[in-house]
Amino acid sequence: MSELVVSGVHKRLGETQVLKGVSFTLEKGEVVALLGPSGSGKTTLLRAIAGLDHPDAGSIRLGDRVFFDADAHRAVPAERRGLGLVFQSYALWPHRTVLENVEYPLRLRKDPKARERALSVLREIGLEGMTARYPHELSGGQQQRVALARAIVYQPPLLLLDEPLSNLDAKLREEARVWLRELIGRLQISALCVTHDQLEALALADRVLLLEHGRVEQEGAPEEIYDRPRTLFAAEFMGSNNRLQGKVVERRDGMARIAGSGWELWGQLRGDRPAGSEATAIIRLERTRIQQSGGQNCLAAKLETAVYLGERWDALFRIGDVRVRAWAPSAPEQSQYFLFFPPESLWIF
Amino acid sequence: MLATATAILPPLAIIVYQSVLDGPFFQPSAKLSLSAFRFVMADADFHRALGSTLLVATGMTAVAVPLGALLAFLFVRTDLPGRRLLEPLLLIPIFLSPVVIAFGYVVAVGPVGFVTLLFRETFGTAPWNLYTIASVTLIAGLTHIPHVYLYTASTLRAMNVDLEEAASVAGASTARIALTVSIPMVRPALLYSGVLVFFLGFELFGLPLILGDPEGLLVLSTYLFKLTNRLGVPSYQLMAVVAVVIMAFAFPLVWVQRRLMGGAGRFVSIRGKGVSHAPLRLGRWRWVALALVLGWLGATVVIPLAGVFLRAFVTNWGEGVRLSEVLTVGHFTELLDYPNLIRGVVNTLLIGVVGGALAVACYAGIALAAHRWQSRWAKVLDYLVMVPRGMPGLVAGLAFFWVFLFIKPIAPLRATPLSLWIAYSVVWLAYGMRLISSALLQVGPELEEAALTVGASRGRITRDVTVPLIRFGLLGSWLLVFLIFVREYSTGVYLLGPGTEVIGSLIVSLWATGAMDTISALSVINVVLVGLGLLVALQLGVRVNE
Repeated sequence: MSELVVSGVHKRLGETQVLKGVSFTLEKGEVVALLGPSGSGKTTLLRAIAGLDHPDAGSIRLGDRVFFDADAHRAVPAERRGLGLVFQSYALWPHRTVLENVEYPLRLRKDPKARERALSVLREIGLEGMTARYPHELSGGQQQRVALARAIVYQPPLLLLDEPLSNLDAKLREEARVWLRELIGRLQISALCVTHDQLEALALADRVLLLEHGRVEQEGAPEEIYDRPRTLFAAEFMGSNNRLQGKVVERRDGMARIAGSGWELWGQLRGDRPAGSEATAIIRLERTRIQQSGGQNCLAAKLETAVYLGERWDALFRIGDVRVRAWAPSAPEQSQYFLFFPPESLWIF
Repeated sequence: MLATATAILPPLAIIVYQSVLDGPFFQPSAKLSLSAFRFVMADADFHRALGSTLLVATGMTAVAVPLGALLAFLFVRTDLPGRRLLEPLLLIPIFLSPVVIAFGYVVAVGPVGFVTLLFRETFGTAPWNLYTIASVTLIAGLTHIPHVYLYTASTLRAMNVDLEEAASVAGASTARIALTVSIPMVRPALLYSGVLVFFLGFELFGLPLILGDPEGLLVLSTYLFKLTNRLGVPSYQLMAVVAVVIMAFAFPLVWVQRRLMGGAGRFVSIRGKGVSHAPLRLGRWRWVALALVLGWLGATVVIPLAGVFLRAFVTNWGEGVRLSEVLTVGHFTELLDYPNLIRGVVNTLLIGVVGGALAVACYAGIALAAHRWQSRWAKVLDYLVMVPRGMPGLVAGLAFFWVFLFIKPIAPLRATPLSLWIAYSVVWLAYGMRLISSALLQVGPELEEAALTVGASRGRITRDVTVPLIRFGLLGSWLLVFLIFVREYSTGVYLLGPGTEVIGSLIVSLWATGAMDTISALSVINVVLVGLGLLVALQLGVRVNE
């Protein structure tokens, strides 16, 4: 049985309709990421599940408890939902020590073993030496761990994470990503994580929900979202891409031939574009291959410039009046190359 | 919410009701009638008072706004010598009781004031007359400069320095930058403080009472005050009419201030990044600027206070009196002979310390109840809070006096400091609420939401999170409310009676009897109390300029 069931949630904030009927489920022990650009409504959705905002329509259930049902005029207040929430800013209470912060939820529940359990969670996340410190005396990474400890100490049935890693520096973020995934797996927590960072979503989640303009654009396993996007938005939102504008000139067996001024390529037809209509072709940079000689689905390209990025070179080419980027393992030295666009990796929308 | 409304609305209602009766409301024979309005409108003194009120309010705005803006620019943006030390002193006039200041001026630069005498001895003549509309206007203007300074300075601070540095790089001089960049940028703040000062002009009472009295000059508030004995019988309906007229000017001004405040706030959104920038260089003008600041401080703080202190320690003063022969502490020991004066000092302290704490507790209670509320109720409360703002202390005091007469169950409270405390707390409600809400603004909403999601009820969040986080703000508010309550004089005037004496209202009533010795001693005590409170506040780092 699904743990969390969100169905048909609508929410208007002022003039804008932030959520336009979002539905999804989350199974027990599953980690789901709500991924979307800013303004896609992902934080509003998270706040609605936490009970900090109430939707205008729809329902939210957890197990057999109805948290919210617009038709039945039912809304369980946030403090009685018993969920754990890690805030983007961590929201650690500055007037309490680390231990007091973590202990507080248990004190509210009149747990006689509050101190022991708080200490054991702090040990679990590797902060046993910091219990008497105040939040401002901790590093960003440590604060994030305390916020997590505070949210899981009372073993909530569902952990909500609001951009959990966005306040950490790039280097720390990579470590925290792995650590968080490992911890969630070890404790077998069901978690819902809101993020705008695709790497965060891909790394943390069992399943990703891509949100755009208050709707679920696509949902699926991380690989599915990245490798088999169903819409132009999903394709462009993930990864780094080349984008070519042209016309569909031929369709055959799920493939299509797209042509622009002076170029022509075969690709997978992903949208329903009849022959003769305008279309967009998308290919990830890492799938665009630089070659010495031409062939099937290859185009002659002139090197404009190349930027050194340490592990690779990011080269900018020109094909007619179209600019295309591709990655090279070493500095490109010629001025003319051929670019190969594997047909299964070129998606036509 | 309801409690707030019951404290705010009856005083207003009773004044309006009384103004349309033809006799005092407690007389059974009083009927609904507009006769009181007709009487007042036909009174030549009323028209003169209204005229001088408008004159004084306009004049003091014209004095305070340019000088306040100049001061703000000098202190916030330039390398004025000693600005760190001088800044806290700028705010002193806000916390000094206007009756004390006015009294100080009488003693210092009145016809036989010590400065006047010194001047006359040296130059043969002293070419000024303190008892004119012009001097009331000038003094009111000078003492209200801090109000303009506060708003302008905080806007200037919030303004991005890059804008000025861009002008500087483009080749503009300091004076040119001030005139073409800084001042235009703070125009909303100037407009707002201009309206505020004009509004405060209608509230002026102590200054025109003391300086206008000898020549019979009246403004609306002093006209209202003098009406008490005008007809021999209690002329409540006439007083109510004047109160209504004052409020008819005050309420629209309060409303305009509110609208402008929104605009001023929007302007601040062009924030700097908090990087400290080098101040603009004044060059050789810096000493001129310093002299200007010191001159203003001397004129508005040093001279009147020196006058008060001098007068408090001499037996008498006049032409040909030698200081060494008349020194005394007798005025202070004499206070002990009058139980009402002793009570006045004790009550002042009590209402400042205990009453201040209670008032802050009430303000905090209201603010916390409205905090993170549905906006509809918060809006109603917002407007409710504005009501006492439109009632000057004298009018509010009168209204509360009537409320305590009118509503029999609470009548016994009238002779206790409790009645004063209620009146004070309501009069300063808007100020107090602003102090508390600015403290609450510092608390990020997610800190409370975090407590909510881990299972804390609203009550526990307030107790465990919100209040602990704003406790320093509450302490600061208590100190500021203490200062305000100790300074307050006009609200207590009508409530003055055995048991409700405070220093401020005692001075007002003693002024009519000419008891200069007692007034000067009480004034010194008042100034010392305010000074102590201010010192503690500055020591604790309370932001006095809220």
